[in-house]
Amino acid sequence: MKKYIALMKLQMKEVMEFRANWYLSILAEVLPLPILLLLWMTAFKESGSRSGYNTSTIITYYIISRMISAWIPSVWYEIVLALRTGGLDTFLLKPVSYLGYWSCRQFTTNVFYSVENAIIAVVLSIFFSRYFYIQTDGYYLILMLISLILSFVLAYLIDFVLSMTAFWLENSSGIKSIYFLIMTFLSGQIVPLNVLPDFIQRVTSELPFYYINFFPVQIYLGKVTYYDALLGILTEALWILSFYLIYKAEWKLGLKTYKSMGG
Amino acid sequence: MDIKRYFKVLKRIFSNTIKADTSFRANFFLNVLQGVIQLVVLIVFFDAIYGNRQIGSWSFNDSLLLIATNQFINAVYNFLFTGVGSIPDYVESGKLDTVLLKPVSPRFLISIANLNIDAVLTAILALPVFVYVLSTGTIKVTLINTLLYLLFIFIGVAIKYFFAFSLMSLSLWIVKAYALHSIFGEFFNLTVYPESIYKGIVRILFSLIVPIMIIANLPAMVFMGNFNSTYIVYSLVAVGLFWSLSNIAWRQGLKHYTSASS
Repeated sequence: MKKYIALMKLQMKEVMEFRANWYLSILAEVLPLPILLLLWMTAFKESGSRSGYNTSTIITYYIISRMISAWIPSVWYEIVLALRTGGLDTFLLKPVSYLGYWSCRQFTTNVFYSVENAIIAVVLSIFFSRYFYIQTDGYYLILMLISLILSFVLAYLIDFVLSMTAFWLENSSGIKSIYFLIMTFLSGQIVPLNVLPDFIQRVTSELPFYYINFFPVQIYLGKVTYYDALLGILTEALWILSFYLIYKAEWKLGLKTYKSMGG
Repeated sequence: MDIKRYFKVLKRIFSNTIKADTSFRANFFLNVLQGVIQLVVLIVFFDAIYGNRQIGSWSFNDSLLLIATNQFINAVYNFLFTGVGSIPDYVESGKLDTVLLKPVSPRFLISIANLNIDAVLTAILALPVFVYVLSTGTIKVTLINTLLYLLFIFIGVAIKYFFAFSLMSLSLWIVKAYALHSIFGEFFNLTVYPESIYKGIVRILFSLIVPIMIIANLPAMVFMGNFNSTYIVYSLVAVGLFWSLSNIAWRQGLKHYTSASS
């Protein structure tokens, strides 16, 4: 445990150094949101509601989604760099597990950001307070929190599993950008999945991305029953387990092919 | 200014780009795939929002026209000006010093440094959408319209370039500014929204301060038929405004710039 705490301290320093940059990136996260909401509000003004969403629920949906997406971890860049340039060598010598190492750093970054993220969420909700939907049912809030934590773990593991394809693939950055495009869409960050045509909805609900962003927000909005929420959380846990097993297998196979370039 | 020399530089950059691009052909397929997904997601997004209704004077069909127009502008912009996005890298690595010593305008050299041939794809992918809108017969195409459309695409590219250049010049003040990339990207994702969502003061904000409203909307409105001649004056004023802004940002930034490494 001491080793991991040392890691966290290191990461903390790095985050502090790039603070100015981080404020700018938050600006990038937040600024487009009011404009997107303006688009939806104008559309609703003409037509009332769509697929069970009204102005209030759609605004709440996007504010929460934006906050979740700001938190979704990604270590792709660092991992690929380590695999391609032979930097993995130093990891193999460290007394911590590979997944553990990155998770620890990512966790610290996220805790650090969560304070600021929370402030932004509050500011946005006040700005749209006339519309922001507040869930008062405690069970829904607890269920949402559980599924949210699991969704970060799931998103992180998928990212990790895909970034480790750099063991075998030359061009993993191209795959990365396509993955992010698909993931943001299929996890409902661009448009709520239940507004889409039926056949697309049926496909998306079978995929793991469904649980990354869309599912926790649905629980928050109270759009699923307690039973369905629990069932969903169970499915989410199974997805996590599957991706963890894939990671294990990849790591084993990957180390066999790893050539330690430049090392 | 020695125009001949600039043409020579441009020719050299072009031939270099072709050489570099043809040696990395593996990326091409991934770029096509990415372009297609992006376009489809955008269309699905607008379809979900419109759902057979109108947003102000914009129907879903008009919105498709706007999407295609936006892609055309992006294609031209990305083909010529991908270099603008790397201003922060020049500053951070200290590479800017070498550029400043060259006998051509550093601004020209940085902006045009990497031509991006793949950007042409953006326009090619948008063509079917454009043709579809034409086939529905909802837009009026005449010779004058077409010329005006091209003129406004040109103006849109110019405004986008001047604004992007001003924004990226901020990195001359703040050295570690990777996030400028994302601000820039997020902003220009918004040019595809129809203008009728902006009312009152917000309208002025997004046309004369952050120009996301005018870049792609004006050309699309030419074909939609709700266009009036004051837009020409108005957009020329905007071009002048953002041109001077980019000049000021660049000159003041350079005064502020103290070479990074070395």
